[in-house]
Amino acid sequence: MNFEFKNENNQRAVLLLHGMTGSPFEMKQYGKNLHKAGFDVYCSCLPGHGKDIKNIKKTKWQDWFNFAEEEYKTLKKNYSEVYLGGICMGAVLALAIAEKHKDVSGIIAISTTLFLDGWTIPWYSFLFPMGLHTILRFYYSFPEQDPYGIKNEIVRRKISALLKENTVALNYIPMTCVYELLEMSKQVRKSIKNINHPILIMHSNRDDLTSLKSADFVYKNVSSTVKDYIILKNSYHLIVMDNDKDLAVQKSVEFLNSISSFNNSELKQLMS
Amino acid sequence: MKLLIYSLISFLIFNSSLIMAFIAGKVIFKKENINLSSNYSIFLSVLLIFYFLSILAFNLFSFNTKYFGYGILILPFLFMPFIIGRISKYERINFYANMQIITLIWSFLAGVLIILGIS
Repeated sequence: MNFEFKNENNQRAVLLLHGMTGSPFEMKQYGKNLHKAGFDVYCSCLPGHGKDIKNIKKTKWQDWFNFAEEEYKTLKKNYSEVYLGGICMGAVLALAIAEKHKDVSGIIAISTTLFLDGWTIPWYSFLFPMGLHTILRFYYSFPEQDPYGIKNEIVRRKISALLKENTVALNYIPMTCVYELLEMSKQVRKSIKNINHPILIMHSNRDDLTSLKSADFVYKNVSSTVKDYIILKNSYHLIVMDNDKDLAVQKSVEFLNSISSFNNSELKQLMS
Repeated sequence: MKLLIYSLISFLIFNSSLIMAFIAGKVIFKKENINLSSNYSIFLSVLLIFYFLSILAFNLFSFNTKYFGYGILILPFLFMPFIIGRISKYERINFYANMQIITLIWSFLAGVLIILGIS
């Protein structure tokens, strides 16, 4: 499931972080395109994620953070520029790492999930506090359901089939996972002012899991002088697999090249 | 006074329902049927809400009466499910589920003592 796309002697790497109950599969195409644009790309499956729902129930947000931080530190030893890119929970994780590491070269936050307030959140969400903060969170899971974060119907059908096979992501979202994500979001919100790295925020105005409120919050509260906020209109939550995936790649590459101290010709020289 | 009694009776009803529902839950959750577990936990959430409301109602109706002390007595039970939820871990979920049932039994006994005290 994990992937790495590498060039010889590259000095720029992007660490991609997948979303809640997802897997590196959802970032693969996006990663391939970043690699084509001259970046080494790495993406590993976060702790607890995979096929077994029991593992994720045992996982705390600190486990995700420590794992991703270690990955970042390893990359930092080998590259002069390391960027963080994440979707959903991965974006929150990227922000959390950047809050701690001033040497992160830049952040791409896609569908950042600081608040769960999208339009597919079930009608009984008012019961969530009862489920989240009592032992009931260990028993409650809500099923991944149509539209699976995807507006494009062809891709949606494929994802739906893959989810039924339980091969690329969990087909249920355990409440424990939501709890840990919200705990991590709380920490990130508290110290978001510490983020002064260049940041690109991409969010769909039709995101089914988290509304623009999360992206607005990040844009308004980070201390970054270089910050860009793009609202996409033709996707749901999983932008990197949806109708706007090419636009997301294009904007990401433009952003990364604009903040990189290496220009493309220098890189080609280095790599040849 | 009537409202005070009614709120105490509803507290006892929801409390005993929760005890039974949590005990039944130990069997239901063991089956590892995700849909069944999820629906059952929604049912438990609803019961918990009514349980909390009944504690709040009793406190409200006992305010400014000589029974106010009884309200204070059962108030900690409002927070117990959240405290247990905060400290619980998936690896020892049976232990914490038992702890939840035991605190519900204590609160039920407290409710019975209060009703005896009032009458």
